[in-house]
Parts: sequence; C-alpha cells; structure tokens
Amino acid sequence: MSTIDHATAARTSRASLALRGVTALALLVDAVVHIHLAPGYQLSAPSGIGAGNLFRLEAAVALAAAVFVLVRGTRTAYVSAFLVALSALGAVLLYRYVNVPMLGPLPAMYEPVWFLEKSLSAVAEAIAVVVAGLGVLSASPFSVQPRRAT
Amino acid sequence: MSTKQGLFAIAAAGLIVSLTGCGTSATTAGAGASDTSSPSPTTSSMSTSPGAAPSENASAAEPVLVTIKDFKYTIPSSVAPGSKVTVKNEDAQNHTVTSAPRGAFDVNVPAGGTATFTAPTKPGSYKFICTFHADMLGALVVK
Repeated sequence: MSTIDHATAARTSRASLALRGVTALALLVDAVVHIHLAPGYQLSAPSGIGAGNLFRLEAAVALAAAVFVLVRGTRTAYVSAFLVALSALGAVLLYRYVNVPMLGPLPAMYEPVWFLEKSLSAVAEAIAVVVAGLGVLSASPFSVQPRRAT
Repeated sequence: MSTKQGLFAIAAAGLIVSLTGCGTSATTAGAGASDTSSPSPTTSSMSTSPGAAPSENASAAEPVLVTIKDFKYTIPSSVAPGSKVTVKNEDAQNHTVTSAPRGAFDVNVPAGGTATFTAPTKPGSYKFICTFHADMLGALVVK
C-alpha cells in the first residue's frame, strides 16, 4: 500500500467515525429530551397509550438506532437512523402545525409552540436526518469497517 | 477534496448552522417565586390575546376567568384577594395552574374543560406554571 493510499484510508476512516459519532450524538440528544419530557406529557395527554409513553418509545428506538450506527456503521444502520430521525422530525412538525385529533392509540398532541427542549430535539432530529442520509450514501452496504485501499 | 470529505464538510457545516439557530429559540427565564406587596407589571412570559383588553380589577364577588389557549395563559390584569378564579382550557391537552413556589394555588384543568381555584388573600404577584409544560408561565396579580 502506498503512502497516498494510507493517507486516503485514514481520512476515510476519520470521516466515517465522525459521521457515526454525529449521527449517534444527535439521536442521543433526541432521546434524552424525549425521556425528560415524557412524565409531564403523559399527564397532559394520557388518552390512548399516552404521549409520554410514545415519547419513551421514541427515545428507546432512537437509542437503539444510535447504538446500531455507532457499533456497526453499515448502510443498514444508517438507514435505520435516518428513518427513526425522519419519523421523529415529521411527527414534531406535524403536531406543531396541524391539529391532529386522537388517532387510535395516538393521543391528540397538537402543540402550536416551540420552546427550548422541543427546538433542541427537532434540531437534533434534523441533524440526524442529514448526517444519517450522508452515511447512507457513503457507507458500504455490509462492511463494518471502512474499506481499505488495496 | 474527495467525495467523502466533501460530504463530511457539508455535514459539519450543517451541524454548526443548526446549533447556532437553536440558540435563538430559547425561551425566557423560568418562573421564579414572587410574592411582593407591589404588583409587578405583566411579565414577558405572560400572554394576553391580541386585541383583548385587560379586564378591570375584579372584586371578590365577580367571576374571574383565566383562559388557556395554544399553550398560553390569558390572565386578568388583577384579581381581588380571595376571589374565585375559573380557568378555561381550550387546548386538546390537560394543563395546570400551579403557583411557583407551590402552595398558593394548584389546579388541574382538563382538556376542553374548566376548573376553579381561590386566589390568595394576600396581595402580591404570584407567578405560576403548568407543571406538564414547563414553558408555560404566567403571573396572577392580587390586589
């Protein structure tokens, strides 16, 4: 392997690790905010399975996706992170701007305001969508580690 | 610059821009306790519906209405000591009107419903919160 190949492989590895780290961190922030808000929202919107339980479910899925990306870093892991973040971002935007009534087990959660934690969570979700999307485009479908230059 | 380096640079730039933007969305300071003899003016976190003139001081016999809509309180300019305060919740979620610090009054207001509480008998400005939604703040002026 030439010196140039080594340098390229090192940069690729660093970029891959950064992508994985940022994706996982964004999902972690999202999860922490949801866990923190869950108790109040369970009392505020208890119908169906309750908003708080939905928040806890979202947090658990986000944490799982974060660990998956951090440990594996495959395209499958990035796709899972992308979908989790996109669904969470879609939900927060939907319930911010549309007065959705109770749907089956989902309580009515219309909340036409932004506040610090909610904004932080939404920004983290948006970052996770973007970075995980980049990971989907750049990651190998199956390999755990970045491919070595030959 | 390779393609992957470029993608990483874009991601890093997006992260910085997003985090910078987040700083502008911060809410006002939390609700500290306030129980002074001189009623304070409306706090920045207290919300009044546009175009709705603040009501005059209500006597203890007059009904006092606090409205919650879109996660904001609409509060009379002041209430009489010991008056009955009715809280009407027009949101689809439950809220509370809880004095901060607790003790002066605390009432749960179901979604689409009403609840009542008795205003403190001691004049002052009583800050309150919704315990379910920490960003919801208000102040009840008793005089």
